Amino acid sequence: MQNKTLIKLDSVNYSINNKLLIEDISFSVNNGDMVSIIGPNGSGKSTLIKLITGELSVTSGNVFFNNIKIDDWSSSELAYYRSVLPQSNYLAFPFSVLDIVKMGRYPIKDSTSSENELICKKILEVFDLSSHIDQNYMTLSGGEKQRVQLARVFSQIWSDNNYDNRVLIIDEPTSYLDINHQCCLFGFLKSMNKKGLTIVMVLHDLNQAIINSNKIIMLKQAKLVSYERTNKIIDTEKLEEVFDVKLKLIKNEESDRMFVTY
Amino acid sequence: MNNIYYKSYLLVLMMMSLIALSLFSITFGPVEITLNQISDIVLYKIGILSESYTFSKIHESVLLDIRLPRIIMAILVGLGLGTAGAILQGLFRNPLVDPGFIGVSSGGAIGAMVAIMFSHHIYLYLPAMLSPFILPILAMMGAFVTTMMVYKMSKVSNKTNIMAMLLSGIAINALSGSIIGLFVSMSSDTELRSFTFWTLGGLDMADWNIVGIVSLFIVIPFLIVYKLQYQMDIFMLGDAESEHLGVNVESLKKKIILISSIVVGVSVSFCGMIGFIGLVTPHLIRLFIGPNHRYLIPGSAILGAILLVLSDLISKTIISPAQLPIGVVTSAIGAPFFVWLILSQKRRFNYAE
Repeated sequence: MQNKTLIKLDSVNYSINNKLLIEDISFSVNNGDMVSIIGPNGSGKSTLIKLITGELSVTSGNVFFNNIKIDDWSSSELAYYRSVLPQSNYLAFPFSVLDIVKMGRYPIKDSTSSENELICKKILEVFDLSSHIDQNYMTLSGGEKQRVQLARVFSQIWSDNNYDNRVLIIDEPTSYLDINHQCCLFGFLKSMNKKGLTIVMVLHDLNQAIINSNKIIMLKQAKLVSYERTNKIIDTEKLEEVFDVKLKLIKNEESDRMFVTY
Repeated sequence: MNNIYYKSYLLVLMMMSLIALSLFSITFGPVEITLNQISDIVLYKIGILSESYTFSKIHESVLLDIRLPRIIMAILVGLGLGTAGAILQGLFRNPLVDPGFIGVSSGGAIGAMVAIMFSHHIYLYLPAMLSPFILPILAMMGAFVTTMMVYKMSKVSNKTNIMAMLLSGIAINALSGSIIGLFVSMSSDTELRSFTFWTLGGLDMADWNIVGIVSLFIVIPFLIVYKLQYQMDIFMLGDAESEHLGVNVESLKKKIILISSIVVGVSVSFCGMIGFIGLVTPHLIRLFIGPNHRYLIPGSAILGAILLVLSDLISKTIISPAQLPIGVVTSAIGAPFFVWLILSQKRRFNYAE
């Protein structure tokens, strides 16, 4: 099952007002992959995520999920297999934290409400939110809000037995998180990935991408520069070219890992 | 805030106070009817009581032909405006939205003005039995046309853009204002007077036929809306977020727009402009019961009814035997509340942010 294609892009172009935001990108993500998308600001990372999820429609080319065109899926069917965390976490009304995390269970029709509550509370514990269960979302800090939204997408994709064909897509999940909660998030992502969940994420921190994913997609100016397995050997030349900055490699003596820095 | 029993208890309490308030309101008026008489008249009509000791024919006809339809009308319209306010604030994801924003009321006003100014021409071509309905029908058509225009204008690449909708609403309201101004400048004094009274709102048209029509157009949409409650909760997360949770966002938006324009359109057309109910009620319910639509929708509906019955009571007692137009009362209560709302939100959200 490991090599089954789950997400496939076939020479995808996307443009607004004749400006190409995504130019001729093709790649596929296999069942069980943990893929990071990196690239400089404005390189098209979030646009690419929106094309993968079907939120934007391609100008030309095709996007497939599980071998079926993304537009041919109904949103309720897709929501069963796939959960997506967009960048924004704004809410205008005072829902409680538990209310919001429970919304993640809406597409899962074969789960009872007491089961749902149990799952949500378990995930809230993972994200260190147990003491905020009944709190008004609007009064939370930025980092807490992001954790609530993460808990929501995890409750949507949570399953007791089978993560086959299921994918989690997250856009910059760590932008508001402190280092402790970043560490906790990636630990959880890795454990879910071990159970078979496919994960696609946009990351800013190069080291996080290198440590936490098995494949990395690099974008620059709307084009795909490379799509490779993460290696022990870091190709600093390519990174320097993509990000247009001088980079150094530092070795962590304890873990024998290389780190990129400027 | 989060206890389910507390919330249901509060809804039941509101329901009971609505009934109590309505009964209390029925007793007021130029002809006084006591609660005792009301129960006797009802029992007599059902056939349990065979003789009418406590009340006269006048009492009977005042209660059955004037007071009852009027109070039911107030309840229905309040229920509709409260519901429409709740779902429209949800649609715009903004607690400061009023049903008037999508052009329903101003479109209704154009229709009403046309009916008032050209009714003697229109009567020539219509059967006489339809004549009392000309104003409501034209007002409803006007409301529907403007809402459709706002809706069409707010389409951006085949999706309904809520920001564009708000702006289109403002534009259409301004356009309607100028059309109404044109009509006003051409109208005679009597026409102007009846139009002005229509814009101030009133429940005087209420009779059993109209109550029947209005209940059809308000109760059915309410039941449909009630089924959308959980989708509406999820919709608060955002367009993309709710689509990713399997909610058909476009169809939900269409349903909300259609339902609120029907509900507001029908109340505007029979009762004129009654402001602020749709704005105030969802906000109060959110404050005391929370934002979940499962309670927000029925809560706003019941509270809308309570407020309108209360306003009606005030409007007919405060300068009795004359009546104040009900829209004047709702605005007098609603406007200070709106100011308080803005001020308190300013403190809470710190607008500079």
